[in-house]
Amino acid sequence: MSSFYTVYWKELQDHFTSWRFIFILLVVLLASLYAVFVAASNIRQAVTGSTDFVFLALFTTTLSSTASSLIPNSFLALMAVLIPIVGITLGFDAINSERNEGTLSRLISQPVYRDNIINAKFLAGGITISILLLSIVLLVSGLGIRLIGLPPTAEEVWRLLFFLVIGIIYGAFWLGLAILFSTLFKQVAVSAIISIAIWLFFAFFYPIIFQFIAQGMGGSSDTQASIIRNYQTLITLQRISPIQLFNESTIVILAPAMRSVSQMLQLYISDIGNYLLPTPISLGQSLLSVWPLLVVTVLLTIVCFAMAYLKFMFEEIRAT
Amino acid sequence: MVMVEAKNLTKVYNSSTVVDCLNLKIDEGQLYGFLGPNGAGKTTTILMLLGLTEPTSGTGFIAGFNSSREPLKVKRITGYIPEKVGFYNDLTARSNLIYTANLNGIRGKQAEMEVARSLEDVGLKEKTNSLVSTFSKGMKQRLAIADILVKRPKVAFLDEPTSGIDPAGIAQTLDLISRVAKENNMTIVMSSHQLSQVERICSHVGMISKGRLLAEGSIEQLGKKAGGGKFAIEIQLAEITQDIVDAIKSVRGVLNINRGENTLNIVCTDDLRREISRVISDKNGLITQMKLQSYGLEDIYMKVFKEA
Repeated sequence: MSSFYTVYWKELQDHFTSWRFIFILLVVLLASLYAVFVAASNIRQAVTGSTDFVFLALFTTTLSSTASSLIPNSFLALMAVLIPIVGITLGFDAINSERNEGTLSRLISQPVYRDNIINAKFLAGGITISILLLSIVLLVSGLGIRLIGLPPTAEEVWRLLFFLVIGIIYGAFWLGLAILFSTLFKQVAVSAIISIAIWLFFAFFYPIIFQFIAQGMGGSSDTQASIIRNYQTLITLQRISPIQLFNESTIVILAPAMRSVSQMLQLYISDIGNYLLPTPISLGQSLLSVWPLLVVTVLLTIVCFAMAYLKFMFEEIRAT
Repeated sequence: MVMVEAKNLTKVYNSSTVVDCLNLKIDEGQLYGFLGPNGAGKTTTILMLLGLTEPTSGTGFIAGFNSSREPLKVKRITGYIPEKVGFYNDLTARSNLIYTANLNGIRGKQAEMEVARSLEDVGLKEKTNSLVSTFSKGMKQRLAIADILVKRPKVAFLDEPTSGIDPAGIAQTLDLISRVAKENNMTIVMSSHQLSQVERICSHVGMISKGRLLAEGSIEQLGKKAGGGKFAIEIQLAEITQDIVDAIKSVRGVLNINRGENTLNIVCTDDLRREISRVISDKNGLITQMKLQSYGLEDIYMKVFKEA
């Protein structure tokens, strides 16, 4: 166990002292401060119906109504796009850079179980993501309290905590994916580019592709049964994207007034008024409805990490 | 005590046999040169002995520990310097070695002490707090030696420890290796294809080609074997007379004499230089030069690989 902690501490130290971590922290921090700042100035228009969860509205209020749907336009949407980048940044060279530098063969010739190395790397990345997200949420909340002069209620604090948990799991998925590519590909550049490509695809291209499919299917249906059937197919299709899983689950947690924010709902229901329920759902009910999404995200993370783990355990490491 | 042992070690990659039924015994305190051309299976053998690669069949033992069954015990007492050894460039020499020490369960003050000792041993004391990225290749190689010294291993495997280093650096590194081995009573297995280097510091060698061990033993023994148990003496004389030649012929053990203009090439069963020089001086001959032709590692190597 002690060698596990040795590797873990070294990795953690590496993360926190690396330029790329400082850089990504700054990017995330600036983006989220900006988002909350703008949200705070729009909050009067945003909070119309009930005055519950005003504080949480800071995180979900869109920055401008005219912005294209492709550009993240709330704190939540920003997080959906930036957390993957954090995960990828911390994991894309976890194994292959050590292999290229020749430190890996020195490392495995020490009395260390091989799985301790990859486990420690994953844990160190996960803890780094957690610390980063926690500090971002705290900073943003602090700014929010200053801006709107309203402290969060107990339930809002709970909801923010659950948001953090979802964010960490989401980040861990991208970390696991990046570590997987770092074990699969010898070159650091290749593993970085492939991780980024997958992120780009789900963040920007998949929604476009999906919209095409949704529009095609939405137009052809006439009976109620087929509408529902189409709707379910579309939801499944949409949930292929891990980003969508995050979006859906966090919006339910942070915007209890909305039951679901599936994009295709907006295609079916043009009147946004119907979209907001008169009464917000309770925390328990919110958790219940995001539970399956969360399980899927955890599962994806485990699959990625397990593949990386197996690849790393059974490959031969030689320094040539 | 046998420190390193290979019993029928075999490694097959995709139906090509890289190491073929290798048997090897290396005694404690030996400096063992592991010779062979590129791709002969030297590195694979070392990796199997270290427990870093699973042998297809056969077993490796380090100090009696089974390399595949008890890899952690093996790694605790074994140092390994891979061919392309690397360090964390953004850390200092000290931090790199502290990490190694911690991984070996040496912590705190003790780790600091061991690291300071190791760095001093290899002459990198002033570089303790320099970033490894500022190190030259030769310095990195010395740091690698310090890195294995931290855990005070019983056995060290050095894979091509001198590749890519300048001649002065090579001499320095080799001296360092043999000094360190003596001081710490370490068994060292050094793979190389630089024969002159191996000859300088190793007492024993094993020659491997296509995964098979072709010859093994002390360089002296192998030299004798390569000569077929015969000795060749070359003598240069101021003047050669038939008298002298006959006198030499009568010495016991002389098998054959080849007469050149000023030189005599004598083949005999033993080192008969003393006897021969005595009979020459008895006949008033003047020896200008006399030498025993010995088989160097290079001759042995060439002979072994020609036969294979």
